[in-house]
Amino acid sequence: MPTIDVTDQVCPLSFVKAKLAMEDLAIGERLEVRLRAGEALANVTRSFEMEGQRVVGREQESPEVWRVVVERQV
Amino acid sequence: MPQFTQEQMERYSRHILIPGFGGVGQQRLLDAKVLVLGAGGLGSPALLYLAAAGIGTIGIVDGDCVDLSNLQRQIIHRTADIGRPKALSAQETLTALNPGVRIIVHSERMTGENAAALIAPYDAVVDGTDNFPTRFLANDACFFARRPLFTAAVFRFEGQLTSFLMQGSGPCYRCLFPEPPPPGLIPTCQEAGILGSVTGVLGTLLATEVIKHFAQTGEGLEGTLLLCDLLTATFRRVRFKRNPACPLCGDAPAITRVTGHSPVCGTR
Ligand SMILES: [Zn+2]
Repeated sequence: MPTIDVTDQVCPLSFVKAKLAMEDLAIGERLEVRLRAGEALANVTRSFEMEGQRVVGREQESPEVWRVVVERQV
Repeated sequence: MPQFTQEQMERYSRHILIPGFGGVGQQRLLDAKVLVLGAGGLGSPALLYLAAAGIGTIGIVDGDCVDLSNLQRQIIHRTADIGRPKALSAQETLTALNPGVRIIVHSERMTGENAAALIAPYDAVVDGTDNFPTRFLANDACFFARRPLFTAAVFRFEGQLTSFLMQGSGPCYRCLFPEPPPPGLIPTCQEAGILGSVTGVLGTLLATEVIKHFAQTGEGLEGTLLLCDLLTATFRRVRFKRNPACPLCGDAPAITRVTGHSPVCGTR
């Protein structure tokens, strides 16, 4: 599963960078997104869901960083 | 996936965020080559938005110089540009706006002789000249070159806009108007007062149609004439079809090559 690190971006660029990585995948494939806790975590997961993608998992890597797995639906 | 630099990702982030547009749509804009006829009232906003949107290669055809009377609507030029070639002045503004796009200057008027060569390297043409001879010339040249043509016209508070994809099936400008009107019936440029912001609306609509076309999103205006009366803020759509009797794209065309018409007036 490919991983994209967007911990270096602020909103909405964190989602822009993750969305660009998602465009590489075929429908049904999954992307792991490494992002910062708080605003980025909330915005990126919600933005993917609003675009019709499915968030299939999330786990905390450290107090500051989360890993979210998103499956491409559209 | 298109590989965007951090600069491009930030610059075009508001495009990429649009559902159905994304990085794929943005890359299509970056790959597009668009020729804009006229850096005047319609061309100014069209050029500004096309360059800002990241249309990768933009050609500007204009043989005129900036005049004080232009500045009320031709917002790509500055007061300090008076007397300078419009195509050059426009290029400077666009390069300052977006150094990532390639701007090609054609400081000449499009004629029957140079039209085919001017259009050939581009994927589409925007006619912002708003004069009858160039509108017919652009129509004919785009028809033979099979290049989509986006065209608009303005008069006082009114404007009209349409697109011709020129892919064989659709109508062309001569399906609406077979021949240019006789010179006596054409309002001279001096007679045609125009609110600057009206050219802004129509030029911006031109850019929007071009961007949609290349991003492959939404519905275009092929076969539809959009009529705008901005004095009453009214927009109306009129459908039209290919005319089998059209002298250019009809069943028995009388026009078989591009011929020039002499412009009625040099003002844009
Ligand atoms: Zn026709």
